[in-house]
Amino acid sequence: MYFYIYDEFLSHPKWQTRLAKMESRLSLLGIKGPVNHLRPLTKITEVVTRAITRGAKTLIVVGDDRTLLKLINCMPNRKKIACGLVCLGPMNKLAETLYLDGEQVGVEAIAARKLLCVNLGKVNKTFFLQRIDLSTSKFTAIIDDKLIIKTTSPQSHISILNPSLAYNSRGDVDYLDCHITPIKNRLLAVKSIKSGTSRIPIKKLTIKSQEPITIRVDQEKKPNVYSLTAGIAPQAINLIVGRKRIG
Amino acid sequence: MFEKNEHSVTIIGEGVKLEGDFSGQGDLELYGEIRGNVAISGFIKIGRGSTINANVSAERAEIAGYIKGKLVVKKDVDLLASAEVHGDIKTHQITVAKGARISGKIITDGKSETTEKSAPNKKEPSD
Repeated sequence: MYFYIYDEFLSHPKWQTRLAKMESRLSLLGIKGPVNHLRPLTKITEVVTRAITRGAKTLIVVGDDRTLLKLINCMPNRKKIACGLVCLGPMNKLAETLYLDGEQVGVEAIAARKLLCVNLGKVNKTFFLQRIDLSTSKFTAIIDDKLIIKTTSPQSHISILNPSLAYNSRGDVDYLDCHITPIKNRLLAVKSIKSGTSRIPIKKLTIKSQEPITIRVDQEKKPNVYSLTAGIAPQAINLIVGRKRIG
Repeated sequence: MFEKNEHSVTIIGEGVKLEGDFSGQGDLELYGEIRGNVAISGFIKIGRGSTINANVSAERAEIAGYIKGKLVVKKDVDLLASAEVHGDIKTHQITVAKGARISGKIITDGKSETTEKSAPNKKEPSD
């Protein structure tokens, strides 16, 4: 059974024509199902739990990257449920990675049901699909509970990427890619002098800093923290991907 | 730490310091500093200006930086002109560029693959 979750911004009248076209195509393909609209006071976790209780085997979010990220944070430990995205909206970087950019492509992908079991990354209590970006100074990082990393520069950018979601990946990679770029001159923000980037495969990374760590999870800004733990949640989610996607 | 089947490169850039034992498959390029034992099954490149204070074990090595510790390399070692090694080196074959500094023993087994392949098979004399 297919269950559709529409993001809140789709209640605006400008999306109605496209939604109607999409729903008509879903009916034609025989993959239409119950619909739930997210509202300001609706928690997606409750919607997902209700859908699974009603017997949903496939959960499809209709929206953009942020909608998909809301869904994946409800999904770990629910690998038997397939997740999909029909992309309608401004942010579609994740959709492009999954070869799902555009509502027509999304609908066809649901009908074709090509599944890819991917790892998720986890930073503190939030799951991420593609990457997190951190910026901090005076930090100490511990990799896999045994290697200590420090930098000599006043500031550093750290990115943690999920190679399981790379274009040519089959989803079976068992590590995350940690990229550390020390920035030598903090004052020259525009033309900052950067040292070479380090690339270290990790399974777990703990960072503690005396100064706030700015953090972006899949391009979305989150509140600053002073410590964080990032790790891998292996084979955590089954995603419906486009036909052109390897996997 | 990074045990995976596909070929991959770990890079420790300039300005980054690592403390602890570092091991796994794949290759390693070092331009920063490591304090701790390094044991990898691939190629290690120690760039100019980088330092390792510990024992190193790899399949092949190219050294242009500073090592203080024992270096055990299964196949070949190239010491470039800026290399400085304080410790013993045990390897199959070694190349030392002019200007490289070594303070320790060098032990090679010296057999090259071409020598072994081209040696004629000895035939027993017929009666």
